[in-house]
Amino acid sequence: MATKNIVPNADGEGQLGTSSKSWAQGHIDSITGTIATAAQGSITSLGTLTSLAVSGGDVQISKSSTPTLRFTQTSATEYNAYIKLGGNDLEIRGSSGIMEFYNGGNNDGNSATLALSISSSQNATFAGTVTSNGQLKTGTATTVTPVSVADDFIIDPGVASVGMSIIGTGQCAIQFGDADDADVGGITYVHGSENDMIFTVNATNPLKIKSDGNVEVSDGDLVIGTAGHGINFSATSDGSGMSAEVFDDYEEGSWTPRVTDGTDVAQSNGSFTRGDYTKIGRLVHCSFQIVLTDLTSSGGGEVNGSIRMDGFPFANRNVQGAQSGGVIGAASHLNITAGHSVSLVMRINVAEADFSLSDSSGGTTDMQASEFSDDGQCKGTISYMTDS
Amino acid sequence: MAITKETKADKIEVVNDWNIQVRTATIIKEDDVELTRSFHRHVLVPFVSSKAEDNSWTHTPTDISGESANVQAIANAAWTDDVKAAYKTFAESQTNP
Repeated sequence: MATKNIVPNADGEGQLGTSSKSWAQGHIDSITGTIATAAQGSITSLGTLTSLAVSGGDVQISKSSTPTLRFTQTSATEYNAYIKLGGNDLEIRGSSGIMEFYNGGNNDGNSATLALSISSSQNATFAGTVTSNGQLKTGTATTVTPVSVADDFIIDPGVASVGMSIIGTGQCAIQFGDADDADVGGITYVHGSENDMIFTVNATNPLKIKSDGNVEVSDGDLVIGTAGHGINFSATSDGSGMSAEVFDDYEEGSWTPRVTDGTDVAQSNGSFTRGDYTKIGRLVHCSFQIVLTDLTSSGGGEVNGSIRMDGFPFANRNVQGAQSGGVIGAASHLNITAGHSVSLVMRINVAEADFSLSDSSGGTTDMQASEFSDDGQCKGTISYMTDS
Repeated sequence: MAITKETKADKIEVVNDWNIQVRTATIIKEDDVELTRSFHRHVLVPFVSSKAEDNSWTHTPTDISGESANVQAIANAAWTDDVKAAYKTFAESQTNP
């Protein structure tokens, strides 16, 4: 039997016939059963549909290999799975186990750029721009514009509490690398029995916060960058009259002690005359040795009258009661009486101390230049407070 | 290998109005890498004050010409006329001239 086609009859309605005809337009009220051709049991092509509406059922593609659903222009590249979401070139593509997400473009349906690629091994790569500057950002808020050196990965969900978790059972690390060293810097947390936080700089680990709360500086100094700061001991119990609990200074150095009457300075042997100091907080401890060569100054003035030592490294405190005493532990070539001893008393608000002589039943007297001598020597120590 | 020695006033403090505390650092370097740093200190006040037998006072300005330029600058700035006057009063009030 010849193939029968649906052809129009005289009044324009369809009927089966043998002529090859077509209408400018047609309408089928309903179809029950399967649309089929005489040659095959399924429709292989419906040609080009201008519209297809599916309601109350699924669109199912069943094929032995490479099932494909395409929503694309005829000129566009085809993919095994290619879903184009209208509007702004939003595309989801899949091929060979790789899922790709595109966005952007100029709404021409063919110029979106790759934003996210998920490989067959589940690795995700942001290949395109996530923000306008190629930054990776989670959260849609812009609470503040990040500084330029730290705006490549931004977390800004616009809520109060924000965090990032790195979960592991061994070493969890954030590494900083460059072309020469992939892990020249970093922060590492060591789980397990150690539970330490390690800071790496210049490929070494100088700082560790240990699980017991101790901070270990393995190589380097703890540098206080601003005067007035230091180690705060406010957690400890306080004595009455406590005025400060921050250990904010330590220093070691030298100073040059001199014997003077306030005007002229006695000459000394520079090879043996020397002082050293250690400053601990506001406490200054000084040791010294003076070896005179002449009570006459280099300018010719004679040291006379009451004498003092100057050249101390710090000024004494400017408060009554700060006149600390010092000890002359050894002396020689002095013009004093056997049994008398020499001491020092700091003056307030200057870096000087008076020589005193215990030669009076009532106490001490000011030591005179005549009681020293041109080649007098003394060694001793003194501690005092300073306001600096 | 070059060993160099550098000396500079690395800390200058004005304490209680007239005391200029100067810390001089001596820095030893090898090829510009610091090996050691040591400190020497001294304190400057505006005048060398002395009392004569007739109880008159002489206040000779402290010679700071040997100090570094920055020490001189700070001393000249800190030692105002008021500070100098205060120091003279202070010096003359001390038990031992």
